[in-house]
Amino acid sequence: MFVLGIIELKNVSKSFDNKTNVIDDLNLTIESGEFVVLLGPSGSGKSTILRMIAGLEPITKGDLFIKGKRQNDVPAKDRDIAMVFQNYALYPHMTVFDNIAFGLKVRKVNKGKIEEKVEKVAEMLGLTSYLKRKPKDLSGGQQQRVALGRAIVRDTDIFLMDEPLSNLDAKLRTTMREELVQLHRELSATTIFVTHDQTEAMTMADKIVVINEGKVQQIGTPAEIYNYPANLFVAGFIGSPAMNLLPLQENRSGFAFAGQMIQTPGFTTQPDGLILGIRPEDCKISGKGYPVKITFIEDLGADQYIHGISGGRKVVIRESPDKRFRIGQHTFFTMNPEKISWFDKKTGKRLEPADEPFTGDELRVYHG
Amino acid sequence: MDKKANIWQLLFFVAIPLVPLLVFWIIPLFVSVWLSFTNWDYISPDYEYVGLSNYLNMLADEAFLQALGNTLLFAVGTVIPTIILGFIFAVMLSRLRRNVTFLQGLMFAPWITPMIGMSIVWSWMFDPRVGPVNQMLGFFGLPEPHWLTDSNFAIWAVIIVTVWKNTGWAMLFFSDALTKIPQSLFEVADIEGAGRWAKIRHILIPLVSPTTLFLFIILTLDALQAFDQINVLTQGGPSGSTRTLLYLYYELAFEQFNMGAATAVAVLILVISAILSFISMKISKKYVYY
Repeated sequence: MFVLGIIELKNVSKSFDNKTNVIDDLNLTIESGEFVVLLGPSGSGKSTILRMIAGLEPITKGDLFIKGKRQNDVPAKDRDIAMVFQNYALYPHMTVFDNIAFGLKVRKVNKGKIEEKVEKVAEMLGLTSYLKRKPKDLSGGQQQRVALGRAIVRDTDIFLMDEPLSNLDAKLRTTMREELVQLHRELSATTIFVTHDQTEAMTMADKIVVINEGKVQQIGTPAEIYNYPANLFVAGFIGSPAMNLLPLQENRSGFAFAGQMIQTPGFTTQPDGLILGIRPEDCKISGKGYPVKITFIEDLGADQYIHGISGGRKVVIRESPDKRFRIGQHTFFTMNPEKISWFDKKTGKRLEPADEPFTGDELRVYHG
Repeated sequence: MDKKANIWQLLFFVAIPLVPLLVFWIIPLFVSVWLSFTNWDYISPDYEYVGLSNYLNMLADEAFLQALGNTLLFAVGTVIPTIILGFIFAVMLSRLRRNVTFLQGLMFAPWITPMIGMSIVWSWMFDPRVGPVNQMLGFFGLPEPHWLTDSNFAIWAVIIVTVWKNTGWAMLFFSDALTKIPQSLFEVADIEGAGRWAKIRHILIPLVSPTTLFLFIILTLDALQAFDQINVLTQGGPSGSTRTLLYLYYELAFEQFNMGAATAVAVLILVISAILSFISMKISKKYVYY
């Protein structure tokens, strides 16, 4: 039998003004138990996708299926989904207990059962001693936990999270990231997590969906997306610092960068201009190779990032911290040829070498 | 030079607003309390101290007890419907996308119209034979009471006018309170499975409660002080059925020239106002969320 995902979006479009599509012909299948991260810059439409799944925004065109049933016309309250909001959206007039219990109360669960469930969830999240407090007497991290508690207590198998960590300070964000992944393992519920923070996406996701301007750019595991970006947008968006994207000059005998010929593989499709993509960690300062003038050095302790100009282009190279460089120095760098990504200059799409066809399945990494 | 104001400068600035407060409020307050122990007739220079007899007579007087009952009925009958209708209209308006300001303005209009003028128009509206109110009731085959001349209906006529005037005002405060509730709270409620009634009960009503308390206190004090509409519509009649405490005070002071008895009523109005405000503040500790 054909196995459907727990959530399926088919040719979904969303328009607020009936003129331009904020989400354009989106197809996405989310399998049961997956931790899926929708990643994109602000305004890319990732939150809108989440809100359409939740039932907070109507779907302009296309179909949404949850557990095989079409949900377009099902109101949010009947979709049995839990959601955590960016600003937590806690009820300021209710205690922590009442906030967590809210969903159960309006669903007329009996009192003893509510108490039992809320206490269990509170214990899980370390909120037991705060149950009688109001949200305003809690720290940001605690409020965040209450919002999570309200979602967990419902025992639903789909969680939607709309940038839940972005209001927390950097340190707390790291610990919450860990806790959320842990929680996801314990509950084994399907989680869709929206963020613009690629670190969150890389560290938490089973599957990342990169979105820009309402369109899916790439779907894959963190490793796939990092190592084999599908287009120039993904290449530039994922990784910090970003991948070096170097346009090559085309001449009679082939392609060149900074006056040096570059060995290019044969491609499955004929490219219209070439862009070479290489991550900073796959470059090395060396006695030979491509000339570079160092303009700026970022010392992070564990690594140093050497910023320079090569062939009129900015490049970033990661180097080990023990080596000494100085600003203004003229030197050379090399690239690991196995790690180069090739992009078509015209379409921005990734080009696959013809001799070793890339198949997604070989690279799929299974998590947890 | 010392930039701080010295004590005399400070006193001077405090004195400016304090003078009118003293002249029109604090001194008359004490004078009234003092007058309530006399039998001054408002005109002649002499008077006698009568001790508590003004108060004792008052409590034994049927007209007073009737006025007290009328005041309670009038207060409850205006404050509660005004708050409920104001809330309902505000919620209805908050769901509209267009013409909100226009409709708000329309509903707010009665409040900025002088009560005297409005009451005159309403006295015509309530005319038993040609007034539009009874025309309409008649159209639906309902009984057509003699609004302003039937002692069973007169107080309701005054209540209707007062509620009509104040509803738009209450609505405006509720509208403002509603816009301050973040949309995400309702979205969470949707996702958590709350229906329309649950949302109103668990979110809307508690979150506008500071506004409700404010309106409750102001409208209650306003009800205790209602005068214009009663004076124009019914002059306290028929047979005292619309005579509230304040109207009783007016009659005692300026129609019967019994200043001692009148000020006793005034003091009692003050005491009632203070007690009501105190109670509502106490209750609010439990039910009002800030």
